[in-house]
Amino acid sequence: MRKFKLITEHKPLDFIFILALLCLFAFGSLMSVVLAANTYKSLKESSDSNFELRTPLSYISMKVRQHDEENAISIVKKEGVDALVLEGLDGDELCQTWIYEYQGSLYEVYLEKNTTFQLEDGLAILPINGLSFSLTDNVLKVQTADHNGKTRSIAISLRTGQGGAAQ
Amino acid sequence: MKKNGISRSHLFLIELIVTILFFAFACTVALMVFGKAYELSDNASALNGAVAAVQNAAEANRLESYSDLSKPQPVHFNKDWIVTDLNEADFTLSTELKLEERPAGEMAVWTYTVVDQNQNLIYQLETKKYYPAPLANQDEVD
Repeated sequence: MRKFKLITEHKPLDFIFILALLCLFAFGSLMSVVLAANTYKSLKESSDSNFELRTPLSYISMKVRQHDEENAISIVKKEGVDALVLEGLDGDELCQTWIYEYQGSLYEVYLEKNTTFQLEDGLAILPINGLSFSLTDNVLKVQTADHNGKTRSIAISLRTGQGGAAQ
Repeated sequence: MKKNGISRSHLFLIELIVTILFFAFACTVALMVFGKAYELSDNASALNGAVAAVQNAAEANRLESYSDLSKPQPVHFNKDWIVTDLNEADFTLSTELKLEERPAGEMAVWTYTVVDQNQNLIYQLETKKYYPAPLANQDEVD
């Protein structure tokens, strides 16, 4: 039977080649990890941006649709901040929902009309990086921004008249 | 003299080559997954922008009276979904308007289509608005 013997001595060239291959392997591993980290970072960035742009718009849009009644939607400046005010009857009480940006968050406060309050009394719903409203010709425009300053806006044409007769 | 044996370095070399082959295969799969993840992320981002752009257009069209109806023009957007001109466009929103006769008026049907630079469809939506006969025939009445 032919037997193989383990030879301990080797040529320097073999050793260098193996070492080079090992270095290549280590470098490849490092590159893979770096690439994976960058990919994950980029995907997270994109996902965060989508969330920051879309979620407040969807939330506000849904709220506006819920309160789309005659003269129930207005924009009011309070403490230097534009707030969207949505009115509606809660039983016999006329109540208001105030939606605004305060200290980097989307805030909402629900209270009886003419109740005195401060912006900090609201409930922080989600972090945002910019929010503005405009209401012209019965079209409510809402604009938000993400952490990179990228903006997105939606226009909501109201079914009922605001500041005039119902359409 | 020829030696009948395997040196340690040869064994290590074989082990290393097998490892590198496996690693190369794993790397290829990982790169493909990264590529797909990028593509999905871009698609999601584009879809979000397209939905907002179409919603804005649809809300604007919804307010149009019958006499204001006209052939809609395509709107071009850059990658941040800001309206731009054709040369710098990454996305294009095309709107098609069809007026369908109804027994007591006309139905305006808008079809919104958003495509990217390579004309790949991103989002499509159809909306309708009914114009009753007195409104639809207002111009003729006047």
